[in-house]
Amino acid sequence: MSTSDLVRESAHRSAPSLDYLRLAIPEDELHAARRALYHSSGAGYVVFPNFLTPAHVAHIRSIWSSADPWISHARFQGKAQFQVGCPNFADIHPDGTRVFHNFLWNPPLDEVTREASIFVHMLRNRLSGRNAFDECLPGAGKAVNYRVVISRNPNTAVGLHRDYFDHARRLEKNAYDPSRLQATLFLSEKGKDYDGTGFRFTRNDGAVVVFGTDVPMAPGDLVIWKYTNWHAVDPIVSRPDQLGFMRIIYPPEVIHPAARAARQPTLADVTALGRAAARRVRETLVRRGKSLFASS
Amino acid sequence: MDLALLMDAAVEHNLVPGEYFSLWDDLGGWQLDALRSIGLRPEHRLLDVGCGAMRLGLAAVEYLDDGNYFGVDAFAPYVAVARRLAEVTGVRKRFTLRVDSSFAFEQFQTQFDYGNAQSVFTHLSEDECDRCMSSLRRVMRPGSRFLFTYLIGAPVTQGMLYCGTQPMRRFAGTNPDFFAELAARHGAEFERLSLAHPTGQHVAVFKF
Repeated sequence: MSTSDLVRESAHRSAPSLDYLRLAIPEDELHAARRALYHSSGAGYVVFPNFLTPAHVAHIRSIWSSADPWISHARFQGKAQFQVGCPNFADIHPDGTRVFHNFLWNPPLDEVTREASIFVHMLRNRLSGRNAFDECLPGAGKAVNYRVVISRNPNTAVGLHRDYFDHARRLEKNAYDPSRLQATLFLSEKGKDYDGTGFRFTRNDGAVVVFGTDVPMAPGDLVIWKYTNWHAVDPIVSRPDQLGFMRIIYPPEVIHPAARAARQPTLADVTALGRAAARRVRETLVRRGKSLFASS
Repeated sequence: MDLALLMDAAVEHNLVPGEYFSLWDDLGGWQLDALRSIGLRPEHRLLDVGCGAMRLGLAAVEYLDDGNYFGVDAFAPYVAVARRLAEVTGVRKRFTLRVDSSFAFEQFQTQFDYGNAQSVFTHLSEDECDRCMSSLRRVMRPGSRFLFTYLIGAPVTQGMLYCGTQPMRRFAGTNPDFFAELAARHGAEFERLSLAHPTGQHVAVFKF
């Protein structure tokens, strides 16, 4: 064998076995999870324990519970604000409940959260038979919102409902789609960070489970579940010294065409505008100063 | 058809049960009704191109005389699910299924009185449409009819990954007379039908 052949063979043997199919998650690796999700004998959900490392969990909890939201987020006033190119939005309550709506086309408040969320969304897509990166951007009208939620009181409950199961509108795209899945990345621990109930889910066999009680959940665990099954967020309570019920969910939101009005600015935008204006004033003063010198 | 039964059969073969299955009765029922409206009778032999998991096929097998249904699809998981559904729903009549992407309809070694292609030409290139017609010409009896659905117009996305895995095209022809010209090239007639399709596709028939 020639030297060049040896070099080539060595490089081939040491190259990691990463290719498109491997990175897109092979179909046979998804089968067991799909059975659990979709088969009538399955639970209707799959838990991926320790999806995030403790270090990632600690970082994400710290960022979202303490960051000044108005540097990076605009005030949330309703889903009509979800338009092409819109900023991220925050909804902050007096009791400390925080909800952050985040889209992938914006610079993130936290890169760790964003990276983890891209992988969660990709895994959810592949399990539901979609292209890995479908609905990252609103090409077909929907885009994922990696919504960080820290609930601190019973008023943040979400009533019992099911999504994508409107039989009467089944001929409309997305109205009646049993393949749809949702993901919940748990970031808090019941009994430690909050008390009460939390996320309640009806399994494929009709049994009702509460995550954190019937299904043990630890911060960093990921659950992917059937969107078309009945589910709710029952009231929780938290003390001032507790974090609250924190999780990230991944609803694909309808993204409306951009309005003709200017993009709603965040504080970062205003700050940048202010700096640009200050620079122009400074440059003008300098020019005038120079001309004063020149004329003297 | 019970949605849970469809979903179980699909996921047993690692196929995600999406809208293909949730619209089973709407689209399967529509296809059989449409074929019957253009003359399909139990004694006729039917070729179902792009048969999928037999969304038309299960109902057609029941309607047709024993052995008169022939289905072909390029996506192997669908054919596996079709066989499973036939088993769990207790189909007794004989039928023939093949996995094939080369339009080799002669492999059935029979001639057909009727044919069907629901959402098939919407996923072929113009060249593939030509090859399909060449093959149909060899297996459709004189006087036979082939029902199909189609769309005209170039979509922005012309290549897709079906079920997240199978590379597939979208028909991108903008000539409104494409299918009439295609028929003429292969010695057939084209007739647009006024049947309303559940998802808004055009409906037409080739007459051989």
